[in-house]
Amino acid sequence: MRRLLRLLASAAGTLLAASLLVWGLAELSPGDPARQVLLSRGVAVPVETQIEAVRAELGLGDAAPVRYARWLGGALTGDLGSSWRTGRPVTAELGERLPATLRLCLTAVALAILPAFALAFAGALGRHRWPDALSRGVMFAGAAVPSFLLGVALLEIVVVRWGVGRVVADGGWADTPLPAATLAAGIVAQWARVTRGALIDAASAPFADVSRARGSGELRVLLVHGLPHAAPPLLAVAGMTVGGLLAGAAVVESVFTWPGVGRLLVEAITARDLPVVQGCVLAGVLAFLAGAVAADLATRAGDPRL
Amino acid sequence: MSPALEVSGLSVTYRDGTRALRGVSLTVEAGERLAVVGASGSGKSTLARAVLGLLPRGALAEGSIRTDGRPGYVAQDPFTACDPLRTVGHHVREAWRAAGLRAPQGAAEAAVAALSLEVAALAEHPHQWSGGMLQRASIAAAGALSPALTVADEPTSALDADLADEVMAALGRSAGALLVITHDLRLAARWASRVAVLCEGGVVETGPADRLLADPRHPHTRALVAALPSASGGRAAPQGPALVEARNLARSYGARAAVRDASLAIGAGQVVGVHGRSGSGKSTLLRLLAGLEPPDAGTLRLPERRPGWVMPVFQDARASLDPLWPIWRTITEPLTGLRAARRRARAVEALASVGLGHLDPRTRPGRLSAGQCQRVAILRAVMAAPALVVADEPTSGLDTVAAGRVAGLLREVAEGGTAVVVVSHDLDLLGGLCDDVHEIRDGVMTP
Amino acid sequence: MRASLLAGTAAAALLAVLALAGPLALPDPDLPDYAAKLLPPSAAHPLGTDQLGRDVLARLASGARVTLGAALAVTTLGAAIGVVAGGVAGYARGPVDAAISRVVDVLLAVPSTLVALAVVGALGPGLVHLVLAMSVAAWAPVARLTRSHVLTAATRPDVVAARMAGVGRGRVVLGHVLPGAFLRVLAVAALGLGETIIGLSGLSFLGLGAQPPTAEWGQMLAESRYDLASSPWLLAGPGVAILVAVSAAGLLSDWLGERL
Repeated sequence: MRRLLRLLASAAGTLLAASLLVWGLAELSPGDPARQVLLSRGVAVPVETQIEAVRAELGLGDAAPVRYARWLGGALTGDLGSSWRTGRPVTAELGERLPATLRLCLTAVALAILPAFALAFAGALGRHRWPDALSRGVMFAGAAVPSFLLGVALLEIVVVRWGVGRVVADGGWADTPLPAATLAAGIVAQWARVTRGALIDAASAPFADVSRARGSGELRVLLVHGLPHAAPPLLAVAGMTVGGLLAGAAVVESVFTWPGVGRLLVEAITARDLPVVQGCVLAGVLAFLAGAVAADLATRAGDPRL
Repeated sequence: MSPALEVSGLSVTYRDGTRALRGVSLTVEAGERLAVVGASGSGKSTLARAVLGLLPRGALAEGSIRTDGRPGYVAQDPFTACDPLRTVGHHVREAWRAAGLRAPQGAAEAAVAALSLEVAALAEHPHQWSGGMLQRASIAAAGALSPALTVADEPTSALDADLADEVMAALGRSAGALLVITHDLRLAARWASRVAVLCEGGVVETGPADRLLADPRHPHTRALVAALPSASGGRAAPQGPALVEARNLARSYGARAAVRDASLAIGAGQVVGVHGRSGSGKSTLLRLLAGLEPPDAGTLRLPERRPGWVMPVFQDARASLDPLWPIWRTITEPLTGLRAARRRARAVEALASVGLGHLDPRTRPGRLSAGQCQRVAILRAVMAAPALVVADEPTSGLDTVAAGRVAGLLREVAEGGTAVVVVSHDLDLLGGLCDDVHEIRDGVMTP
Repeated sequence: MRASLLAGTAAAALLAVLALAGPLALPDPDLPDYAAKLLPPSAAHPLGTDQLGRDVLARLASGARVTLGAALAVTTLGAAIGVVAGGVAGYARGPVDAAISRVVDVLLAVPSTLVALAVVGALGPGLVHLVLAMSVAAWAPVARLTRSHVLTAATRPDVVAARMAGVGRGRVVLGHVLPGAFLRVLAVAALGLGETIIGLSGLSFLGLGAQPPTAEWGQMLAESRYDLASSPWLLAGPGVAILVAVSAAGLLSDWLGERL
């Protein structure tokens, strides 16, 4: 219980520091927020009085700590300001895009699990023989091929050449497999590497030799002793990948024109829509920290020594 | 009755070309206890692995091994031999399951109860058990299917001395025939009826344990016997003025008193031992004597304070050498004034003087054994022409032969007129090496 | 492990030749030629031409200077900031150390892509901004490594023995502390280089880095996306270049890691 509190406190501290960073970066950004807000209200060439009015409305004249406190207070109560592009609340924009991103990420994770374990077991069982070489080759390739390259190639081959699916996705289930597979490729490589390493470590531990001397085969050693030892490092990495998918999805969502949070972030950066950028980054940090905390808790639950 | 184990003409070559065993033949009769003794690198672990069918992939075995059924196996360290994520009960019951059987109701409980272990504790995990009890649980598991032969690989070396007897007694009770692999000649003599001495992959001498200890015939057996620290110990202390004199030293870190009351006098050419368990304050005492920290109370008289007057020898020899430096640079590091070519020549001389003349002076520590690293570290200390050498557990982690060489080298350093302080938890080592042994417990030293 | 050194060096050498010799031997990478649009590979254009009739090989060579130059800049900048910050934290200790360590912890607790996106989001798209943004994320691991190296240096047994033998402080730092620190930083930097190449070209692909007409591998791919169906060689050029560069970095860092 105390452990859980300390974990949450540390995550909260990181979140606070990240919020300061996100807010501070926007302060450094060139451009006058008042003009951007007026632009979003359809005033392209504002007069001085209009600008002054919006500056007062936004409280831009206040001291920096006051403005940060106000922004943080808003963020904590779910008010992240309004988009400079559309004038709509940032939380509404995020909420609209979140289901599509969740669907994409969860599908990618589901697709990744089996191949990751298959590669890891092939590597650990066929150590120093061709299955291991093959699995290491696949892992190296998975880590070296950028997702935008894979995504573009898949679109080109599957959609354009074979005529399966659509180029512009609407975020529904029918369009999910291709972007999810693209996202899953990188995850498979990462998970397989960690799992294979942990399986091999466990299989070369003295207790594995004791089990072999008693008549266990390699597969039994890996299933009975290897898997429990592979779980904690895999969970740790999995928590971070799942939490980090929001950032990783930015690239894949853009390639497949997927209407998710990642693409919203890229669009917002291109359009210099700072409130939306801040909102997306904060959501990404929050997801990542949640993943890390969940992984830490799961690891502890699985190890009797902790 | 057929023998429990019959090995004939066994040779094992590893994938990298190392020949670990050359034509080993030995027999363990039913019910017999045979100890295989040898230094590290003699091939004794390879023999155990070959008998258990655990040779690594690519190892080539020639000759034959005949066992009467699958042998039981007791490994060195019970904490690594049990899966830390599984219960002790799982570990014991695996003896049946791994062989494709179902454990009969209550069989695991009966097996551990026979070695006077608590049955209820089977539901706990290994880290909740003590080392001695866990090793006995491993012995119970090894004997679960009543094998004709049990192989025990250094079954006591990870345990405290007082637990070793308990474990060996349990092994004697539960095993049929026994093959014990050990570096410890004394243990072998106590618990085995026959001893085979293994050297460089071959059996050089076999015989009853008492005879081997009293009348070793092969030169290697003699070296093993000679390396045993003599039980008598305690040489006559050379008289002379004390080089270092400490009276009622005390040193605390915050609220924790590491050393509370320690008095000690060391003369030139003398080896003084300090015996204590970990946490007894012996390492702090060493730092005080080396002048690395000032004492909070008490008086400490040290000689001249020129650089290099006191030199250290550390517990982890490999970590005490810079991994990126060739050993000649490490050995001659104290000779800052000399040119590189001169220093290298001095290093070659020094290496030859301690029987390491075959080493290339350009070798890096990563390629040396732990014992060789420790001798290189001692050479570095000597190179500074110190008045005092302080050694912290200098032989921990070394096998008998390597430890004997390191102890001998420290003795030679003292005979050259240097004072030597050795702290260790190993009373055998101190007894054989030192002129005078003090005991330190909870920071208080008694002579 | 020698194999990974050989393969990595060969791939790196190939890219270096392409980047350095390209401008001497190849046509102008940025000069459009509307008469020669989307030509398949031929003797005149070994990798074909793009939608504006520019020579793809020449643009690859020019892109090698941009992509690899920017990636090396990020890595070097990150390593330099990291070594200085980590060194200062380790030597100064106290509140300075606490402040630096806290920043490092936060940066390491957030995915580096997200940090880079946040900084680019504030500064606006552009290659220089992207390099700055990625450096902000790149220095943290180096700083943590350097700090722990400095903190443990004073109590390392080989350092204690050298000091007791009378070797001066400067000589100990030069002889024992710096060489090991250098090798470790190099290994970490090489490990990060591959990810940096992927990140740089990926964000440029999204239009957040290099802007047209600058030839950057990811940006080249983005520009020719809609002509891939008719001209698939436009995918092969930058795609293979990125794979070769990332593999070279991976192989070399593997080899460095084995040496430690």
